[in-house]
Amino acid sequence: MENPSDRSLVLRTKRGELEAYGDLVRRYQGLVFNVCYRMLGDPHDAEDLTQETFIRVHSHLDSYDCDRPFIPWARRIAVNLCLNYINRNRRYVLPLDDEFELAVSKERGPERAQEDHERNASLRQAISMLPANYRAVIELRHFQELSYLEISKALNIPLSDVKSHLFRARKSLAQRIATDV
Amino acid sequence: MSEDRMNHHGEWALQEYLDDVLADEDRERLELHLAQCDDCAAKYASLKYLYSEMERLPDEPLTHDISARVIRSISLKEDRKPYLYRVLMAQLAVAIIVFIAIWPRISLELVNRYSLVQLLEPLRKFEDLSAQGILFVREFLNWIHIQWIATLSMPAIDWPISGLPLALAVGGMTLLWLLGNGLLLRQPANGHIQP
Repeated sequence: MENPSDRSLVLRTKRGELEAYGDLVRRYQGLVFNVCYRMLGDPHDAEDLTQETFIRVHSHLDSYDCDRPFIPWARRIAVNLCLNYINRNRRYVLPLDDEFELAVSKERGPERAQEDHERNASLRQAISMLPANYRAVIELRHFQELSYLEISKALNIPLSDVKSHLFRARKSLAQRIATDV
Repeated sequence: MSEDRMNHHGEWALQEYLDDVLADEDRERLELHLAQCDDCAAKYASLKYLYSEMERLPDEPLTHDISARVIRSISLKEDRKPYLYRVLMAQLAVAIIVFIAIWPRISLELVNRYSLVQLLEPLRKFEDLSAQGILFVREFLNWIHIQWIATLSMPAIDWPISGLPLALAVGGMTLLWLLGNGLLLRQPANGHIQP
């Protein structure tokens, strides 16, 4: 049987079919989890925020326009929730879970896997060291491929802030990665 | 893009170039500059490396399915909705009835306890500065007293306690009510969600 479209799942959810929403969650939980993981740097918190994102998305479905793609909207909600979460937890520490990195890389040969693992960990570490609003613009620009204007709208900040945050974030990341290489 | 901008905002222009948001003319000018300037070419290489590293950063697998927990949390919330609505409406009705019943008692108590003279006492020190203003305030308060407070005719329950303890009791009940509602309406999915 053909997979139902996001639109039909959303419409069924709006009619009160929670099973349809369960299908949507199963379909996109990995994507949303990765947004949260890149934003937070901690897989356990990322999982909690993934769950919270889907709960928030469900409670805002009435305002969602079914003709627009579902997952970009959900991922933007995830970014904003993560931003709020980081701002609420000022002393938030950002450990990186080695197990997660190794689980992916070890299939590709031990040396190459180790090399990849270190590079990925280094980049994740560098991202997680950025201020929260810099992380958000990096996430939206590089991983969700939004335009400057779309980022400005998603985060409700001026366009000039988007550009300056991006500029500073990338400069910092480039410097950090250069020293790690 | 001017030469000056290239010099002073080189990295900014490089990022815009990599983001593909530069106008054609600026893009061509930057490409020419990159071919001649080793310093900018090195910065460009460093940024391009960062872009490619981010592009190839792999997604991490979510180790288990969270959909069941999400659905359970939503179901709990949905189940509570009609119940909450009824409770809130009942609370509101009780609050209105209690307020109507006790307000005359409290207001009369306040009037007795704090007479018009006492209410105006803090204003006396300003009397020299603005006699007209004071007069206006005095007349206004007097008007309120005559028109409203002194003519309250709503039936008041004859509580066996005096006005102030009664007001404190109502205040305390209100606080408890707000606190109870806060707990009742508390989001179960706030930050950390338990399975």
